[in-house]
Amino acid sequence: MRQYLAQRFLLAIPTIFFVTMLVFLLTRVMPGDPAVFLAGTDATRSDIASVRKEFHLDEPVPVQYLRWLKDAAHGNLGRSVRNARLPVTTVLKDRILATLELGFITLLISISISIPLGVLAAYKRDTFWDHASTTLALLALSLPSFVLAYLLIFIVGLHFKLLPPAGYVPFLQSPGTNLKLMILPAITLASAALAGKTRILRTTVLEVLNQDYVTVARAKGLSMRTVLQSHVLKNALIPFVTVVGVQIGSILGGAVIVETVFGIPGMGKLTLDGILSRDFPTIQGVVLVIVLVYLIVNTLIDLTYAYLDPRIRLSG
Amino acid sequence: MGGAVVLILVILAIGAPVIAPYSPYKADFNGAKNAPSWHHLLGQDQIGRDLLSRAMYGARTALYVGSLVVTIAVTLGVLVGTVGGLAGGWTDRLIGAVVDMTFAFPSLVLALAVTAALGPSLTTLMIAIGATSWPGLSRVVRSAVFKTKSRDFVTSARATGAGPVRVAVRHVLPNVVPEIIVLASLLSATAVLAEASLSFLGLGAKPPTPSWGLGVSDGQPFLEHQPWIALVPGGFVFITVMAFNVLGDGIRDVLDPRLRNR
Repeated sequence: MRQYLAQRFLLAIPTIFFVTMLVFLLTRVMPGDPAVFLAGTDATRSDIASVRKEFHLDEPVPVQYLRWLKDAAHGNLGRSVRNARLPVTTVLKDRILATLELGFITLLISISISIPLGVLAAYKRDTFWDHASTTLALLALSLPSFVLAYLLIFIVGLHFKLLPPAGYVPFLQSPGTNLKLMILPAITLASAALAGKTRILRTTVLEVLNQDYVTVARAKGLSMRTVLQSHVLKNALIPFVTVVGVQIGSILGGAVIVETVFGIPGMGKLTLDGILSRDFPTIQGVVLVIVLVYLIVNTLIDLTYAYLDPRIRLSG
Repeated sequence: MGGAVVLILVILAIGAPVIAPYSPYKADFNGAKNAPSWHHLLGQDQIGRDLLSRAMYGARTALYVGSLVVTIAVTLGVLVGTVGGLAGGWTDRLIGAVVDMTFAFPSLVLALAVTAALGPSLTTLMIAIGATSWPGLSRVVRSAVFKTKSRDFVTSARATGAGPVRVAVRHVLPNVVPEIIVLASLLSATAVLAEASLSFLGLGAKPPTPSWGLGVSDGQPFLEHQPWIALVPGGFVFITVMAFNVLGDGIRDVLDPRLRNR
């Protein structure tokens, strides 16, 4: 087990470098002189020159990257250009909670719905329930998130006035309102994620149900429910958990759209705004955070594997 | 059945300039924001353009993007996957590590970054989506290659002296093709969705290019009273994506039982 974790850890470090380097290069490759962008529209020549000095844009790119790395290791991610030179770390701190909360609720919803749905579809294969849930999954997968978002806003928010259509209130300020505001965005994000999970679970549960040990368990006289819980689920969950890990990435990406539509000041919107305004320090900071979060989540998932599959736990 | 819908869409897209009742660019301020009527089957948008025509032209954009993306991704994916699968050893592991690292990143964010770096336009969009999709493809290709590699006819081909390239092209690839077709179809679905999303965010097609994603974002201020402006293009995205998904699933189902019955 320790060796297993160590391996994963070793892979994580080059990933961080690779991804941050990639984004660094991309931001530097943007057409136009970055110093001009950063200095703003009314800048004079000397303004531009001083901006160039300030952001070290006159140095060769690899040097810039190393400088950024060094600063980052000390917890300094530079200053945001858009937000009045606020330290990027401050901006990130403000935003990360919103996105984390959104992501968490989304995961909660999608996992808690997809597991029963997937198992049901597999168990009652080829019946109405199976077809219904598979079709539902297909629909959810195909509906673009922004269309769903607007539909939800339109129907639930404006037409029936059940829930507030958009906005955000920090959790600590008012938990009730915060949660009410989070429902629609989370549902939007969760629907596509749900679809993928349900389908995979259905496939894996079907495979497991065909296994001999399930037949043995039933022959022993165990009720289907016990069989499902003790034998089937643990085995079927392994590929499922993989999918969850992969979906974290798409949830983070989808958050960009959802946050934009619902007006939630989170990391997704920050990324979009940063990219649109060529705010390099912010973009790099966001990327770093996203990669770290992703790696942490995947490590957790690997740990979950070890829990679910004793073979992994006992071998490495 | 998904194939039927896809076919209709393709015909619409190609034939749009001929069939479309109105030019998608012609504004008609008198008729702005009209609800669907006999003259304009799907209504008009905020500057009076016929929504049906814009939707049809939007199909062109979507399918254009989709097919290019799939081509790029499939080419790269097949190349990398085959090389990795056949070479084995540390070449394979190196490639695998790079693929895994690309996977580590939320694709939309990476696509955003690429689009931002190269300037928002349809071309950059395609590069971005293609660049984020090929790793997934290469993985599948690689495992398919592994499966085929050990089968008898490959061994016999090599035994008779066929060089690695010939083995790859004539023997391994044809067996990998069905899987690729399934993936291509599903990838088209993702590509259309991605195009719509990126255009929606303002990072893809620029106005007045008819694009479904752009149409939805255009329609946003009018949601309350004239929802069709946003929902028509949105609906088209939905139908298209679903069609590709159904098509891909259908092909996969056809392939699977056949393989099992052998």
